[in-house]
Amino acid sequence: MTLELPSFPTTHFASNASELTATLEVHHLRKSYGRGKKRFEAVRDVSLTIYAGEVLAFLGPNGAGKTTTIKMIAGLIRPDSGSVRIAGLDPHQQARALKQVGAVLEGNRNLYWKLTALENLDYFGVLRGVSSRLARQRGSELLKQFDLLDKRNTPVQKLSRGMQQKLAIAVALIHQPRLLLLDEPTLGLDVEASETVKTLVRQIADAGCAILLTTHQLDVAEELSDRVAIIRQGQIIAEKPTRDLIQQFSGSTYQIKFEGDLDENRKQAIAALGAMAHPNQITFSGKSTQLYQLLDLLKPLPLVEVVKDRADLTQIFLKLVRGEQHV
Amino acid sequence: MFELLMGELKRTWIQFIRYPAEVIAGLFIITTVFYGLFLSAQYMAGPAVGFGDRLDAVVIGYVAWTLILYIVNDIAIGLQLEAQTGTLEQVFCLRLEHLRFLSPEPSPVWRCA
Repeated sequence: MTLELPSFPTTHFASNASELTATLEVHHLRKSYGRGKKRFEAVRDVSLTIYAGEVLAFLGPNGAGKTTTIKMIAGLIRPDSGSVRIAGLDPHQQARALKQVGAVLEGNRNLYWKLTALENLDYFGVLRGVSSRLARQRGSELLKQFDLLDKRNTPVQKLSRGMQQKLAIAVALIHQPRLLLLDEPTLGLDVEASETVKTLVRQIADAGCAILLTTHQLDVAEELSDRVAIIRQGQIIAEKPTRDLIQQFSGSTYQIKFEGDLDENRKQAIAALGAMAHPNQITFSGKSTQLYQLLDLLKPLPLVEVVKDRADLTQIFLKLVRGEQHV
Repeated sequence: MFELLMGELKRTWIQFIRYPAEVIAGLFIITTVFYGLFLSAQYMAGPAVGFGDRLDAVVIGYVAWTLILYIVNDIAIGLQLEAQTGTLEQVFCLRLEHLRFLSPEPSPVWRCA
């Protein structure tokens, strides 16, 4: 599926991240609930930055403060201290800032269930200051791009969960925001619908929209995100480009699988390189130059696979959240 | 502002009229309940008791009371329903500049973990 999404007003998209202007800047956000002994800090000193065209996966266990942070960004909760800037505007002081935000928050798809897909797009478009005519026009375009055009006159309650989710994202894009907040966009979707939503998210980001994504499906976060921020007990414990974080936690061990048997001479040579030979498999933790010497030793046995140990985001997340390791 | 009002009226009307059978059934049920109430009251009072003009007052008073209760409940139920479906947050996310006089506090407070 190829989408031609409307271009987002990025104005500041450049190749070098340091040259980019941030779409979202969050500085030292704090939020507490309750009083006296019952007081607890839901968010403690959270700072984030997202640039145009970037997907930031905001991860954390239940109750870590993700939703509170997102709602402070969306202007729904007033922070005790700290600041939020969306395209340079403060959503808590300048209502214009919220015109730059599209949000699909937790809840049952954020749509009116008795209204059709197009009626929802029309209604939310008008609410966000788009004229009814333009909202219907943009709505039809979005429905076409999201492969929902044939469902434009179907009430939302008759759509599948995947279609409802796609429609919720379309509704959030009707006013062409610079920042999209997605809370659990693939929750409860089947494999196919989940893949479609992931493709959409990536294409929306490629069109220049900054995306803040929260999810408990870490494979989704790994696949979609350019950067990852992990929050625990209201504090950011890691924030790095996804690739760097995975590389940092990945080992340097190679597993080499092959067919056939090794003779004694080869076994000794392999052991001399510091590798461990098992039947049809070798485990090697050394320099990559030595790896090629090792592969030479295996000639002409057929290789089945050569795999470098690679940490996935789930392992990294668990290590960080359990406090076993620090970034 | 006018477009906003029209948008809101349009949504409310569409939601009301979407399933005509639901509307007709609702009207039928309310009419039946009221008619049953009057018949029961008349039956219990007996044929000797004449309400005279007071019957009209009783009927109008009861209908008005029921409608007020319905309206008050409907606001609460509507808010609850919209909070569950997530549309309430979407509406609060807008915080329209020309309606700011309605809410002196810039942001409503939502409690969540």
